Amino acid sequence: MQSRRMKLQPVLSLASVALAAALLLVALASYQHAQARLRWLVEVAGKNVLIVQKDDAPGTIVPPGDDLSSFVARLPGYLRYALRAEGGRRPNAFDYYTQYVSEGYFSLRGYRFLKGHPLRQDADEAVVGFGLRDLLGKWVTVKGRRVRVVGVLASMADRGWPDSAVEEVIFLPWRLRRGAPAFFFEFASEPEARAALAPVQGWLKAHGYSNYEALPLANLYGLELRRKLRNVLGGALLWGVLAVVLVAAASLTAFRLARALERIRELGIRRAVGAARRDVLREELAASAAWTAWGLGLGWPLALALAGWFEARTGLSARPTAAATLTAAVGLLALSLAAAYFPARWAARQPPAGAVRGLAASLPQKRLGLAMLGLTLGVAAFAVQLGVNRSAEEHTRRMVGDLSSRTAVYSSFLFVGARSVTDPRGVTPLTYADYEALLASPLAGRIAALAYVEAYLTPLSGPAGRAYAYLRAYEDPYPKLAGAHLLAGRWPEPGVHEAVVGRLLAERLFGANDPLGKTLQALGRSWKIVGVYRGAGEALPGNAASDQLLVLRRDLGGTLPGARGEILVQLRSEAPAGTFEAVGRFLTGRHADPKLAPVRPFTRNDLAPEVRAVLLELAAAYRLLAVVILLLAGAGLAAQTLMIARLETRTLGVLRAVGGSRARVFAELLWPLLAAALLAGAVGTAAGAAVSFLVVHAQEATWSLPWAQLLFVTFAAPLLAAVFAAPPAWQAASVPPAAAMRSE
Amino acid sequence: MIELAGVTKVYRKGRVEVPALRGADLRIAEGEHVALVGPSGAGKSTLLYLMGLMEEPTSGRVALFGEDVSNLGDTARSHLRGRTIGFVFQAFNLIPQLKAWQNVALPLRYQRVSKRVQKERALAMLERVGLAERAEHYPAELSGGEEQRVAVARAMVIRPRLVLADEPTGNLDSQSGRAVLDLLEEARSDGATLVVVTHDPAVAARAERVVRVVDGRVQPD
Repeated sequence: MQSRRMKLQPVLSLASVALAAALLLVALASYQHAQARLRWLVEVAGKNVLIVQKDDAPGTIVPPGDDLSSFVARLPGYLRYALRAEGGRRPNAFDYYTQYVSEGYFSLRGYRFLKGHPLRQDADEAVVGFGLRDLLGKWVTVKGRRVRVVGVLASMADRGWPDSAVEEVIFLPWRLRRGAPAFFFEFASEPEARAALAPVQGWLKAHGYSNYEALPLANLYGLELRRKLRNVLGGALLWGVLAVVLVAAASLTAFRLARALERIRELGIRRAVGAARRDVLREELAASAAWTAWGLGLGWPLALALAGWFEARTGLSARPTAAATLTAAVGLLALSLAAAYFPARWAARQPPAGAVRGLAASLPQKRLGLAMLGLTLGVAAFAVQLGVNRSAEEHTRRMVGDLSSRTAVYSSFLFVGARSVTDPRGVTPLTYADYEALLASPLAGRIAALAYVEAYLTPLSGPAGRAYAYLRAYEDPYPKLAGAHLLAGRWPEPGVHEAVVGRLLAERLFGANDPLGKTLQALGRSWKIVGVYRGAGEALPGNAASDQLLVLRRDLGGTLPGARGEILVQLRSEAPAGTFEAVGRFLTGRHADPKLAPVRPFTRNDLAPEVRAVLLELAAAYRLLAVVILLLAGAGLAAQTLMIARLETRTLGVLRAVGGSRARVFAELLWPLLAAALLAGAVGTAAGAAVSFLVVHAQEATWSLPWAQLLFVTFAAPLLAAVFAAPPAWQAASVPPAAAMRSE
Repeated sequence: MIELAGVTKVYRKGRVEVPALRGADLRIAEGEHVALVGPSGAGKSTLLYLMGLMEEPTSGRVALFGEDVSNLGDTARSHLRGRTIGFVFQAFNLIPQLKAWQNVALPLRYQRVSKRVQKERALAMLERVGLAERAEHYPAELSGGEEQRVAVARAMVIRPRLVLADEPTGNLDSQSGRAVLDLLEEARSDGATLVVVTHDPAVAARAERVVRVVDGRVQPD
């Protein structure tokens, strides 16, 4: 029995180190790959580029020309520029959406070619987006002109909606242009691009180009929010990996201590035959290093298998790279040496006379606490991830709108989502009559809330400035469905021409002045401001963004020219799958015009899909990482219980000998572990919540905790302890008393 | 060659102090065979461990081979212990993961002796104690008598100047016990001093001098 245990022990130790090595490798590799994904999220945003373009105000103006380019070329860090003009899809409803671009436009925007090459400016050539790739090599008629398609862009659907719109665009040479140009100025670095912004804006103002605006191209991609998201998500992942390392360290230390305790007599014998403290220390460290080397060797194929499993479930690669392997090797070696050092030092310092009799001072009493350290760290890491993940989700919501998962938007003019934006057919004009028809249809029974809103682009003027902004004339409960939150005042009352103004628009029009009670002129009426609201970040369909004005539609007295109708639908929770599509078919059928594109529902998953994709991938990675952490902590706890039971075998034998039943002994072993685990759960949750606050606060993001989940984690710790510690405790309690009494 | 003067040893158990020796004085000449006897808890083993540099005295002076060792550091004590003192314990104290010859060779390992020489000397010593054929066996595969003979071989492999045995026959039958005592006395033929802690009058009777320890003090002869 003893020799079997002797043979089994090295195998178990090796398996533990190999598993720790594999988990560390996978954690580090997933961190590395996730960081690359997060970097990509920011890199595609063209942060070194300034765009100068005509703003939304109507009217024909004389655009700036070479004089602007000459001015910008003298600014520090300037590299090059390119031009683009929007061609639209008119006059032919079946024509392609067109853009006119100058030399170097594609490379400046970072658009890669799938096939072919850029168009020549002096030839009748065109380049098409990925969605029109079948046109390569063909002659097509665009804007009444025959051009040959010589290049196809690689798909950019995953780069975000500003680029996904390019999927079905046909690009023509700049010399054929109609319409106002947009200038793209590239600088050597982001700070230089930022520094050039004020001079360019000053130049535009000085030269009377009041309808032109200059802004960083990255603004179109929501760069700041992407950065914040990257930092918060990256921070959460870093904490996750750190937690894996800490839990592994705590478990390894506790394991080494238990091993030292178990071998205290052996170490005493070594000391008795002449080993000095440093000899014992050296031997223990060398043994630990050897285990690590073997563990890494065996852990590598295990890590590959785990990475495959991880990738299949999260979509995020965790395949160990050379850098991750090197980091894991060095890290694990340092970790195992550190974990071995303190127990070995403690063991080496035991007086040999006591050690050969199996006696050891003080520390054994603390072993339960050490065993719980891993569990506390695991729970803390879990809580950190819950907190940070919640914050990241809220950031995403701010970025892409605050629609609930049961809400869809049907819009007359959708400018996100590749298919509808660039569909060569026209789009269905949605009206108030469609809204009323939907209300009266059988589908209304599946709908929990329905709102109609009309958007008008209109000039607004206040004491601090002017703006071209969207005025949204709504039917209740639009603000609630669109996620607009009132910051001050109240919502408008009907019949008295009241309005609520978005926070950003209020700042632009009124500066530091209180807008409440002031009036604004729009659409030929005077509107009294009775509230200020905070909305979602971008002017996407359905969003009540913070740079808009909201009024009640009935105060307009009907639909005015230029309206863009949108219908927001929130389904009942019991609504069957496919209801969104059924509503779309209903609205399409009302117009029954095959020349028009079908009405499609837009849900929050259609908005900024690349950001959501990253969030979903990382959220899945966090969950798996958290499970790994808790499993590591649980495995450490099981090993500790086994050691404790083994060290106290004789005591257990005495308890059985004096009449203790197996169940009673089992309960006496398990109870302190459960109590300590509950404490570990509470302490870990509190520590994790505090750390998540610090991490989120450091990113100037909003911190909120999913309390229900945290409560679950707190009580999950004793549950975990019970699951992992019960088997070894029961095994120990089942040893026959006579055998236990004979044990040394 | 062994001299203890006014030696005290106090153990701490939590906040409680437990005196094991209360001013022990003892001189043992080189090559002498001494038996330490006395009731349980009198301090015999503590005295033995102090002589073997396994414990440090709380106060008093311990001298070995004419050198005061009371204040030696750990490395010097370990060095001296590993090269000059052989221990034999009641519970054998063999390392279960090591084979018999590896247990015997253990002290040589800390003297930086080559592995080849370690094995040669360990096998020779096992042959001397009559266990050459058991060299490749683990302790769990040996009888109690054989385990103790391996332990004696381990104590002898360094050619010690001092052999300290703590109840060496306590866990053995009388025949095995006699065989072990014979082996220990053989060590004296190489000039070693032998100190044996025992409760057994038969074991004590084989010593040249019997020293009685009572209540942490050495009784006058």
